[in-house]
Amino acid sequence: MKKIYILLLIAVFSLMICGSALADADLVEWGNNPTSSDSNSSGTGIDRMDTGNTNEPGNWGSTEVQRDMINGKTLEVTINNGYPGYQSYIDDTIVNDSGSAVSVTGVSVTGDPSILVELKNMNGTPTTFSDTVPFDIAKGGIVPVRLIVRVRQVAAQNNTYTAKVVIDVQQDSKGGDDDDDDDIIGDDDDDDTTPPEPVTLSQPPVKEPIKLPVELPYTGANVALFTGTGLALGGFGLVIRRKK
Amino acid sequence: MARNRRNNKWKHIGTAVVITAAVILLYPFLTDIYSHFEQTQLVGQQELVQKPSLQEVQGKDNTATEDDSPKGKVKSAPIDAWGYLNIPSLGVTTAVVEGTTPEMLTIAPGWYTESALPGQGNTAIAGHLNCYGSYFRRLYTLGVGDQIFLTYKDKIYCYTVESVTTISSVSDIIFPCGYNALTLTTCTTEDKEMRTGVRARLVSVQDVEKQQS
Repeated sequence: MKKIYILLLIAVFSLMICGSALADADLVEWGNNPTSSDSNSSGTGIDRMDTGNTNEPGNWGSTEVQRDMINGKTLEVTINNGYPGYQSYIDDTIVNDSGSAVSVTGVSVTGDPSILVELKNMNGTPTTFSDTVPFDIAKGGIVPVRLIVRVRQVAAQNNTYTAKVVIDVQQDSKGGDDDDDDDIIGDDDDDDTTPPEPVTLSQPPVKEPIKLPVELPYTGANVALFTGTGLALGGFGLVIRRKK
Repeated sequence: MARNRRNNKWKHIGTAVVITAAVILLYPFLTDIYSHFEQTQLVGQQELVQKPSLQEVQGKDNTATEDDSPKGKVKSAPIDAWGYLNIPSLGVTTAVVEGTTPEMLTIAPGWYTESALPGQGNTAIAGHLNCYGSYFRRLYTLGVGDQIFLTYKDKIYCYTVESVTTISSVSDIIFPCGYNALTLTTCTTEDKEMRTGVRARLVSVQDVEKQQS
């Protein structure tokens, strides 16, 4: 019987060690003050368009965002009067309320598959969009982030799109503090029992243009084609004129 | 009689084809003429409103060109110049308009409205490689260290070229790069899906009036 207990203890202990490296959505939570860039009412703003969407931007859609009040793990995003290609931003923070450093690898979206959500780390000045995820958050750290919310181009035309967004996170395999990371805004206190201080952003992080690659305008023309066509056509015209 | 008529008919058709061919042949030059006409008006705006600088940057006398730009023409300019670009090593002096839509780029190089204003990040400008003024025809010949001057409002921003690269037509080159920069883009002669990108770093800012004095 003792052997079974010992084996069980070893198994549990092993699982605990393995678990530290696995995804755990309970490690982090959203900040208290998510703000949408397009929460304005009709006639007071302009919608952002998805890259490549050539439709004239107007002020049709708006985005509402609500944080899960129970544990802060979920953001509920609702797009009203949306349309394929509609885009907006949500600025918020991610708070690491676990006892060790974590690595945020992105976000998961449940609900309407028409909504595409991408996570961007707004800490520092990343050069490209793609290099901002994954990023680390020290124990108790808070990182300003931006969610880029889009209605897919292939989505059905609905008035309202709703989805829930949770943070994909992995606990740092090193465990403990990650005080060397200067990019992290957080609590450097070594006391693991100290809960992180609640932080409310008085202002959203400084907004900068979206860094998704864009189509650069075509600014060339094949002069040789014009010349060739012109000469060929001119020769043809002369031949016709001489025809009797 | 009927044969003469038939001959005349073919003659007219031939003439029409030749005229069409001439238009096609001259199209690039016609677009250049159109663009230069627009430029005259936009540069005239600069001389009348701001009294800056591009000529002075090049060490030329400003008074002669002032006489060349009648005020009536300037007033009738349909679009305001956003800024003025001067690349001494290419001999390019041009107005810059706001926006990079095809229509705007027929007038002059255009400032990417998604990019930053001068001195506030990465300022990006697109221009035609050929046709419509061909202001960026020889952009690829720029070398590291070449100077580029951008006049915006009351200031002249001086940049030095850091790199000249060939990039994809879908690119994030116009977005923030971590320092104050000027990015110029144009097409390449080889591939429709590629662009030439010039990145220059801001080295100094001067007031237009100071520059003049």
